[in-house]
Amino acid sequence: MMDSVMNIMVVSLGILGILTLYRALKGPTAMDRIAAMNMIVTMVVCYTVIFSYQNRNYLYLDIALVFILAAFIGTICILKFLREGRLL
Amino acid sequence: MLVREILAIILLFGGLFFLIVGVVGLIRLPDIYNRLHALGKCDTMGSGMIILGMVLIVPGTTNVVKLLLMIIFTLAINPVMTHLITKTAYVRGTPLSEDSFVINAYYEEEDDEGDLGEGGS
Amino acid sequence: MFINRLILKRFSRDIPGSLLIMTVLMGLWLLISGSFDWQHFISGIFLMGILTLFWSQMTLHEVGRTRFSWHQAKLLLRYLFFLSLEIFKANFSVAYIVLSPKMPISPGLLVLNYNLKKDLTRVLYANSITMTPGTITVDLDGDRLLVHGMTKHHAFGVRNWYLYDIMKDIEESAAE
Repeated sequence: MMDSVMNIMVVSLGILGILTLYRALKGPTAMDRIAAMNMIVTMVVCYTVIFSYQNRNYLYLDIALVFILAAFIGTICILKFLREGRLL
Repeated sequence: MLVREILAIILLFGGLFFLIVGVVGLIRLPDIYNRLHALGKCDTMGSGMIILGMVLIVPGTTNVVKLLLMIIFTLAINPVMTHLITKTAYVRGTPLSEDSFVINAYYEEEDDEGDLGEGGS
Repeated sequence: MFINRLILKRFSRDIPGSLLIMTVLMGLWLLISGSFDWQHFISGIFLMGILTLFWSQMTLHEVGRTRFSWHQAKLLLRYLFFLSLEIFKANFSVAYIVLSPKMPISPGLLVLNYNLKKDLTRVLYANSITMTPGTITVDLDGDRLLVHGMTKHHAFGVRNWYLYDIMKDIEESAAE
């Protein structure tokens, strides 16, 4: 029961990621692409948590935890570069 | 079948529903400010509900603490990110969509239709 | 000596605050490492001491001495309870707007004034505006606040908001 639920979740997260890529390809400004990237980061985090439950290998939770913080710092760098034209 | 697993399944599908709403909003809404409404709220709620559903079925206190830390980080990071993207769009001068209002209520006057007053940067 | 001055700054002026930070970090360390040996205790105490010293360099010049009052904690819990209710309502209103076929939106910008002095309360208030129905904080400048609303009704809901009064109470109780 839980395994089939997890399979449904994984497939629908993949479909949602492909739909988000449409906005990342078509978005008129750079901020649309950053927003789409942010959404994909959230889906990857959810997928990593589900993957760690599927394989019963809970070290993947650490990867998800670090991935949130790394994506946050990367997005802040891109936004600061777009706003001020320099990083330091 | 445990009650815990049924609750977890309900939370997982609720989170999936809010993620679908976020993606549909990201595709349908007209300009970047409105798209960020869909991103900043439904994204936080969706990922929070999915991780909260996983808390109920994952064994071990260590894993539960890690998942709760992930919820706390998401709750702290996502509004900041939304605010930063909106501020960058506003500073770079991304136009609003058509027929949107701009109201300056700073001087306590009712429905003053003045200009924005350069709050940028 | 540089290190000597740091130790004096943190541990002599703010003993309860540094003990609180050390206890919280120690509990987090023990919970995440998942084992309760004496090796973990000793290495944890060593690491948390170093971390508390580094923390002093970032925060001490603003915060000064740590104060704690039950009244303020109660107000903060009340604030968080109402905030979670508002977040729950916000998601359903955004879902209704997005999924309805006509999309009843009337977006726009709104300039507000607000009167919060401390950085922490300003950050909490701006973040809670971002999380709640149909509004996003665009910019903070002095005592002005630029808010983008998804509909006109949502944007005007921020003007006389009941969470602002609770936040004002929290800040005034902290000022004593």
